[in-house]
Amino acid sequence: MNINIPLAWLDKITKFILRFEMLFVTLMLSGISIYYFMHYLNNGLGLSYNDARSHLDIGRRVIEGLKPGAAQLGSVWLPLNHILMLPLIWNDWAWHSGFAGAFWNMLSFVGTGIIIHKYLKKLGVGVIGRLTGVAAFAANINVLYLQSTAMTEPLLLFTMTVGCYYLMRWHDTDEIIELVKAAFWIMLATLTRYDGWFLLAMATGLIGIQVWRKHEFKRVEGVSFLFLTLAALGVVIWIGWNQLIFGDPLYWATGPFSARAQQQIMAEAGSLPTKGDIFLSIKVYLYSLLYNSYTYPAILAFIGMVYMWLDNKLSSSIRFASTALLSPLFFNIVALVLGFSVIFVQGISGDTWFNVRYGVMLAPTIAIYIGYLVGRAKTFRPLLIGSLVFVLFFAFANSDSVALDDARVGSSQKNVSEVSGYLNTHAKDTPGFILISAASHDAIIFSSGLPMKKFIHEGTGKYWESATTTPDHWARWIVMRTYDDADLTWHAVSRVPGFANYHRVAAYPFADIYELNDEMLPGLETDATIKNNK
Amino acid sequence: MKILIAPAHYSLNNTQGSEYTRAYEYIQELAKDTSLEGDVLVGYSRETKIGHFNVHSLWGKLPAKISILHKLQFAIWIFFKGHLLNNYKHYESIWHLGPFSVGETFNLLGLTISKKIPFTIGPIYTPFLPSRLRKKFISKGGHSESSNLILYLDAGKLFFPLSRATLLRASTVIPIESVGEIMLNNIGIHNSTVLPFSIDPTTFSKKYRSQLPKFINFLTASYLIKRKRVDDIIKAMSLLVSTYNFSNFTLTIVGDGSEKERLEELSKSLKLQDKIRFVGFVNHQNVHNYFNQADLFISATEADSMPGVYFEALSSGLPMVLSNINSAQELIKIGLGAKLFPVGNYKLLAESIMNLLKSPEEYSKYSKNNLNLMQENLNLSKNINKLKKLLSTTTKSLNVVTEKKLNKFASLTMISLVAIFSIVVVIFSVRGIYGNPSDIELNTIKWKENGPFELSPERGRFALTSTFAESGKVYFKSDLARFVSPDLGFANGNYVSLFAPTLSFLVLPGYYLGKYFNADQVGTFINIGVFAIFNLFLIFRIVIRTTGSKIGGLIAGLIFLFATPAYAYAVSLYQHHVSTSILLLGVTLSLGEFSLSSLLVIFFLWATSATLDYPNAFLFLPIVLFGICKSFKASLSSKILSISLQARYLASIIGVVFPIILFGLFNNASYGSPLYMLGSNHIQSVNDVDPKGKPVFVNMAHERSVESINAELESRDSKTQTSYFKTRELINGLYILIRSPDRGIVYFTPVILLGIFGASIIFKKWVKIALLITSIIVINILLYSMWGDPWGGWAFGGRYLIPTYAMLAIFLGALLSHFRRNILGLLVFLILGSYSIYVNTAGALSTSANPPQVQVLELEKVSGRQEKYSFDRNLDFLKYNTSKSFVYQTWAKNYLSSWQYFQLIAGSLITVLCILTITLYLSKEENL
Repeated sequence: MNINIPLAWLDKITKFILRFEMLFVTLMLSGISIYYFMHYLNNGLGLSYNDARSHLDIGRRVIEGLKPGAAQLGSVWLPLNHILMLPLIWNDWAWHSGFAGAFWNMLSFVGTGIIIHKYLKKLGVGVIGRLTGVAAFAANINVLYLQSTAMTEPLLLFTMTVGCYYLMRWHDTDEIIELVKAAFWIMLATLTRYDGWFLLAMATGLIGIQVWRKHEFKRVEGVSFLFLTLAALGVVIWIGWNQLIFGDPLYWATGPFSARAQQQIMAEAGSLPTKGDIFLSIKVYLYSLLYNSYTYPAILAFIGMVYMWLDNKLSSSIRFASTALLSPLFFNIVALVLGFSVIFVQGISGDTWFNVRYGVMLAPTIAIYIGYLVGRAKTFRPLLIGSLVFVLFFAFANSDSVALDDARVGSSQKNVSEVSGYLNTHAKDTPGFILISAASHDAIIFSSGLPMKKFIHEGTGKYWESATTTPDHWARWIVMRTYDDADLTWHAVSRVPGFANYHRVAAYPFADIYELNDEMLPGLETDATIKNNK
Repeated sequence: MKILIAPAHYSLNNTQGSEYTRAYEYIQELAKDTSLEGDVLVGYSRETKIGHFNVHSLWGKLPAKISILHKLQFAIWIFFKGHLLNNYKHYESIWHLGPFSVGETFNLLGLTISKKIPFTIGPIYTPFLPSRLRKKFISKGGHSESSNLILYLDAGKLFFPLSRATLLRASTVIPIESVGEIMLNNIGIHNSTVLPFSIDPTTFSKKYRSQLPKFINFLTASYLIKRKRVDDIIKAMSLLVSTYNFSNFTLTIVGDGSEKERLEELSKSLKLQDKIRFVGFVNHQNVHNYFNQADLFISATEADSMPGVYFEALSSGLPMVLSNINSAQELIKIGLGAKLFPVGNYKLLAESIMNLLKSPEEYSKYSKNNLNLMQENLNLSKNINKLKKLLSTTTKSLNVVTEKKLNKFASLTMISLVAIFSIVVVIFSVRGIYGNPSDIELNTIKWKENGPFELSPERGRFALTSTFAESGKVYFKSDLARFVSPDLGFANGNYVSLFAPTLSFLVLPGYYLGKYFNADQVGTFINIGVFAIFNLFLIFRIVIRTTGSKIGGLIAGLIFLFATPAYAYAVSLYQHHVSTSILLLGVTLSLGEFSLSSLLVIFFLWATSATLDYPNAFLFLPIVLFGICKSFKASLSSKILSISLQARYLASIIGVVFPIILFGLFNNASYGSPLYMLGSNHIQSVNDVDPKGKPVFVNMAHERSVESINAELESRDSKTQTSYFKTRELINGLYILIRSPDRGIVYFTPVILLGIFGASIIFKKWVKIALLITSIIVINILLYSMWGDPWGGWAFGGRYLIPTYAMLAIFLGALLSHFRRNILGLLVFLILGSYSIYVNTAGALSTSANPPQVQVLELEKVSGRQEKYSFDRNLDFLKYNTSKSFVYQTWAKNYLSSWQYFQLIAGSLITVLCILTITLYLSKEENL
């Protein structure tokens, strides 16, 4: 059996592939993205993360609730995700399905795949290496799950990777426009997660060193200033926002809801073993990285990274710039050592999963290094691709996703269906407000399926002040953890006389539900009557 | 020219008149040429400089007797000192001067020095037969026919085989006479050039004896030993008096020896004590006085090679009467003035003397001839000039052909020896107990915990073999089922095996054979040993094919079999060696030209391997893909890319049919359907068998009926085959298999890791094969790292990586072949290799029941003692317990402790490894 292919045809096919390569990548990634969003939507796992529900609630509260407005964006979580949700979050389906948040993550997933492709192309990697790199990123259930939910990681991956891409281009070309683009995307990263702030610092350092290497020390200040003018704008805005809304520029870092405050509680309880322990921090983060990448791709990426650093075909400037891709690695280790972050890896630190998804932050980095390795090590290409497919086959066959496990059975999940189910059943068509702390029970608010304006929480201004003083006048139901002063509602309500007019109607692992006694109902306010609630 | 004379001899002096003096004279003469410089390595010399040559001595004084140990010490010193000096000075020629015996030309330095440097050996004496054999063989046809025999008799001398290797390596070998050249030729050394022996004649008179004196002063000089036949001379003197009435003479005998007293007695008995003077040993510096005063030199020796006294006589212008040994005959051809007589015939000796004395013309002519001969042909300074040319001559091409023939012979011998050795070691290590145990006996501690069936994989497979051999069935009766538990299945109301079945059937021949000798278990286990030896052979073949190095291949095979955990699984009943055989066969097939049959075999092997051990389906995949890719041929012309696939190649996929049919038949007979297999919801795991013979399931009540259990099984969710391999387990799996103290390669067989460095060597010439081998390694490691139990249960070392050890051994063979001249590298290899052999021999001879580290704490609670989990557990087992080896249990325990037995086996293996490594170092195999 002979197949004769005219070379002219091959030439045409090659040109066709190259011409539509990006379109093909975009369509494939889009298809995968939509498929997995639908998959997790249909199997009910789409919003397993407690935080995903909170993010959606924050977005929703900006446009709907007893006190809607920009101030609902809060002080701790950076605002970009929540701002981007606004065009969709008004829709109840988009809110409760998580699509309002996932939409941007899906775009980020596709965008990150495209930027990996472009990054590899810029490195001179051929079509097979480029497609392998993109596939290595996309064929990761952790990434696919996170892009299907309303978490912040995919947007960060996208903005950081684009930022690194333009940073690399600037290192190569020295053109100011590339630096401005890098600054813009890094600025967006700084408004997405605090990981972006570390990238900002690292990028500034890389830019300074590069200017010094290529030009002279005198220019370092000028170029860095130019870069920071845009790149640090997000940080400045966020600090200004905290000052404006909360009266403290560092409220995000030192406030009662900050990560630091939470980690402090954990540290006091002895649940933060990584704090001050650099080796354990490295170990914990590497484990989370390996679990999120299925280990073998990470090993290949490491080889690819070493290969790239030693490859003289690439200019030293590009190799130097590529170190920015490692920013999440350094950030997460530093954050663990300083106690700003916490990760539980089963068997290493803690008996459960918690925040183990942070290991996914290097997914684009791993993909780029794998793509580079496959592109360059042509002799080993069949082995590299074959073995990668082999491992990923088992990952998909067993639906291996540590990020999903964290959401389903780890500390990042909260099965609040019982509480929220009760509220939905009893409060949906019954007039009256529900008093609840959003800081403690946002997941319940979300899962109840009730409109945001049904809830009185810390962000509702005078309603919260009134309800925590005279609950029997404002709240028909109170949801809180009994005897837990960390629950702001309990802290306030348990100390006022009106609480005596409530009786507990349900007790669940995450919260109890109190209902106003029937004899007090005539005096209950059931409409949003407060004016000038600012 | 820079010359290294190494060795010059055990000693150098100018006093004894021995080889030491001859060697000294050569160097002294050579040193007169100011263009020459260099170094001389000698056992002992008073002098530190001869001309421009620096003299380096090993010993502070010459040992009274040069023992074997002295010779060994001297050889090693020459090797190291020579290399050190050469690294610094870069000699242009190496000269092995002495000893002059062909059996002592072994020279490690010469064998290992670069072939670009001329390496000369000589002068070499012609060896001769001992007296007791001489008559017999000489009478049958002379020296040329018996020369091989003579040389082989010389093999009794230390290092003769290595000496011959050295002679083969030499650029030039210098025999001192043509008969020596013939003998060397007969044993394949064709690079010889005769250079007549010479001495420094300075002290001798060079006196022309123009007239025959009336009173004749006969002279003989030699060691007084039987071979010199000085008694013949004395008897001839007696005849001169009695038969020829000639008494105007004296005989001076110079020399000492064991025969001296007997000879003095003889002279007295013949009443010649007034005419014969024994002067004893005379210092070489004074011996010329006796030659100067003599009128006729006599030698009756029966065997000698150009004895020095000939030349001393020649230098003194003495006419001679000599026995007709080869040397004398050869000198006659170039003008020696001498009369010859047959060896041992003293009457003709007397007659020859008288004939010469009766002819004054002849006497003076002989004297003149001898002076001329010494001056023209045997002049040391002239010979030194010839020697200088030889010293700068590189290897002759003729030698290469012979060398190849000899190498082939040596290789075959070595391969055979290593194969026999390996078989013997495997037999000595196979675990077992004598007897054909019944099903009930198998359940005793003797056969289980303390015996060869310590773990369930061995029990499960043996039980299937046994039940099939005895009853033709594939399910177990309750006693046998109890023996197999807990890896026991229950299907269709029968106890069945949970293991892939093929191994149990492959070992049937051994079972039957063993049963015949009342040792069915041993016979069954030996089957695995056969596969293990086969693996050694396959590795050897692949290394030869890819690197051309036979010794490298042998070492690689030995390392795989005895320096990795593969050893422990070669002596018990596990599937790993058979799986490895199939993989290695696949690699071997991939090395050759592809044909329909080879692809057919590959598909057949693939399917067979999967029925042997289910994960093999993945492990063999690289070979299948490689075979399929090779079936396509692409050619590129200027306008067309042509891809061709021979349609008949597609038919090769039928190779999978036969094994799958057999597998289906087994499944049908065992589980009730051809499609049911492990993981199927129709097979239930059984934890134990109760005293009534009923199955005890995990979490199931004893009293449940078989029907109810079957009903439940029907409703169970099916478990996918892929669910056994989890990417989540990769980190732990990699740690366990590579670095953990209970199973890791680093602890159990660090030597095999050196193979990683050899991969690049095969990649240079055999890219696709290297890629294939690497793929198998990668898939093997990844597959079993994802396996939920990378420990392999209670086991010795990482048993799942046995195919990887085999593949790495191939790379290791290439590495050794490539860096065989790197002493430091070989030293590292030997250290790691010896350690690995030690560890794995302990595993093979003791037990495979090592717990994983994670179980140790629980185990300690139960046992109340410290539980070890690495190979130290095996060492303890041998120290304080016994060996499970069948040979040890049956015979050796009467003579040795288990610890001694272990040390004997490990020591033998390490010794063979050292010998092979040294041979590799010395071999002339071309580098890749």
